[in-house]
Amino acid sequence: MAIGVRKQTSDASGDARLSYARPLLRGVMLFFLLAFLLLWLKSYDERALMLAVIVPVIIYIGVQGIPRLFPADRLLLSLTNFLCALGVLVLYRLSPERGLQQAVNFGVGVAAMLICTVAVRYIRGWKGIVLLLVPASIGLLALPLLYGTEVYGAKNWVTIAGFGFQPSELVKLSLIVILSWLLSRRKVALSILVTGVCLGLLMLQKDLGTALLYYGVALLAIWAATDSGLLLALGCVGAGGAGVLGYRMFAHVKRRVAVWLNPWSDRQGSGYQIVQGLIAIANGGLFGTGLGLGNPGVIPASYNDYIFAVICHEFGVLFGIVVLLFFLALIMRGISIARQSDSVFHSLLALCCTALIGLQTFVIVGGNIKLIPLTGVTLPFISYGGTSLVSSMCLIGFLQGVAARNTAQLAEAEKRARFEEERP
Amino acid sequence: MPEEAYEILSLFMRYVFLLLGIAAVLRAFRWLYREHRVHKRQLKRLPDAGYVGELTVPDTGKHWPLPAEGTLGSGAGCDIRVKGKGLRRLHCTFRYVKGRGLEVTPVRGAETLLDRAAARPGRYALSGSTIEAGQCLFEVRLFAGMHAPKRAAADEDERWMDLFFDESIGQDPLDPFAGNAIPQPNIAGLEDDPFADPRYDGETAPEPDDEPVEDDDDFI
Repeated sequence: MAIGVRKQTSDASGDARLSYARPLLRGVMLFFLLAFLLLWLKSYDERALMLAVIVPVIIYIGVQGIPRLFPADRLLLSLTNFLCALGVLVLYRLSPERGLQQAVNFGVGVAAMLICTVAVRYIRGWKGIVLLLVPASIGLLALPLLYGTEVYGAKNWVTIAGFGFQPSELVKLSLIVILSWLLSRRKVALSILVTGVCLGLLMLQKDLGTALLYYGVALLAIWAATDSGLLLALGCVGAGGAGVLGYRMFAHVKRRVAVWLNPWSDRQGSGYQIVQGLIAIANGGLFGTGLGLGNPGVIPASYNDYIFAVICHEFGVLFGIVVLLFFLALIMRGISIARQSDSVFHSLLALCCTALIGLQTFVIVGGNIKLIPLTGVTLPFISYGGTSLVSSMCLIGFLQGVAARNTAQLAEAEKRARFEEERP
Repeated sequence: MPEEAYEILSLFMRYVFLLLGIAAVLRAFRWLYREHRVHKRQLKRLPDAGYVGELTVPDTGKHWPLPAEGTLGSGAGCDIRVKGKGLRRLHCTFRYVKGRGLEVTPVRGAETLLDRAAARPGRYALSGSTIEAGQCLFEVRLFAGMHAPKRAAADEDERWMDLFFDESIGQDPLDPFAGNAIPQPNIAGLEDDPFADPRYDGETAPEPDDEPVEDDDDFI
């Protein structure tokens, strides 16, 4: 097997010396304290002052308090908290109501993360859960086809009792668990079948961005579990074929590709969003226009799809690169956790979570800077949206759970070694 | 605040934010690097970490550390790679199940015998068991010390529990959080076990807990 059965080593970050956690924590807390104070000075809005106190306190509690109560990796927590708080800050700058709502979503996300951490750390038998998750996922994905509402060309939103959510965001989590479990039991054909059904339902909803994420993660997981270059090559060829097929079948895909190739041809119409995004990034330059001094509101969906362009606009391209480096650190930590696990299921779970975060970031940032055609996915942890934030936090929860397992296993190996040393 | 003053302050703060961001990300990468070093150091210090036993060739004494899950075969992608007659590129998969032993599942058509009977899911190799893959003979040694004569009890049909608790025999089936995920040295009845790991012979094995590990890193 390509991954999974590696010697586990420390997850020392769950127990890292505070000398490493504290400077990072101090820097992050100071950043948000100053940023919210600056926003308060602009409008003397008391809510900004409140957030200037609450956000750093939440970050402190999140990084220092949670690991005392739950098994958690401090580095992952620090990175995640920074990105989530940045989302709250940027959204507050765009619209104070959205910023406050995102802060509430962040709280819900932390609770969801803790539940996922405990679940992955302590649940042993996943077979029954997977058996339940398969029909539930397919049912959830079929829901928008029956009761869904169309947003930006994709029929992927469902509103139940006034509460709107994207089932594909929740199924993302269950698909990762299903794929990891099936592949850990070497049921490759079944995992391909389940992924195929999910992709088919997403294609019917015309939610191609999410379909791309599902496909990429499934392909990576299958390759990692089987080490089969043939399957990987077939998957890549299949992706290319599906891309061509999607281009021919869906008019809005054709439009998006045309706009991507030359947004200036219709800069007041279909190319407006991309053009405004590019202008915003260019206008920000290396150091940005300054927090509160830019005009990011002109970008359509600035709080969601184009939030990275907003960051580059007000904080500068250099800061945008710093944000991407935070994502890179998160991905490196995720891969490290996946490699340290001694269980194939948990390794694959950590790998899939990491791949999903990485791929999603690449897809949306690439779309913002016109590297690839824009698809409607969110920037993990930062974009506005409760379902998106909670599902991203759940992914971190899965990673935390695997990291906690690694720590416990290392503790066991330590005890075994000590036991041997103490023997007469 | 007057707009001009705010503008000057905000333009100045751009650099502060950038510096704080760079400092934070550098600290994060330094933390990652330090983790990597601790990882390597601990691998050196705990060569058995992550393994549940070893697979040996009785005639030659050659041995391979046995991970909790993995594959055996002659292919490069296998966790235990052995060149031998009749051994396929991917010959069988194995999985350690706490309290039961090592479950060996041959890939379709690959001849694999476990204690001279056909290996199949639900049969477990214990310490001292033999695995014949093609024409290669291996002996299993488990740190947990479960020994072959207890096979009858371990092979009982307890698979109804697999649905939810496939790795938790001996624990409370109603409590999904019971027990510990770590393979435990089980020394019960080792005195009579000629195949048991001698390191735990006659001793009380340490009980696991979730206490964080103190590392001895002096990298800082």
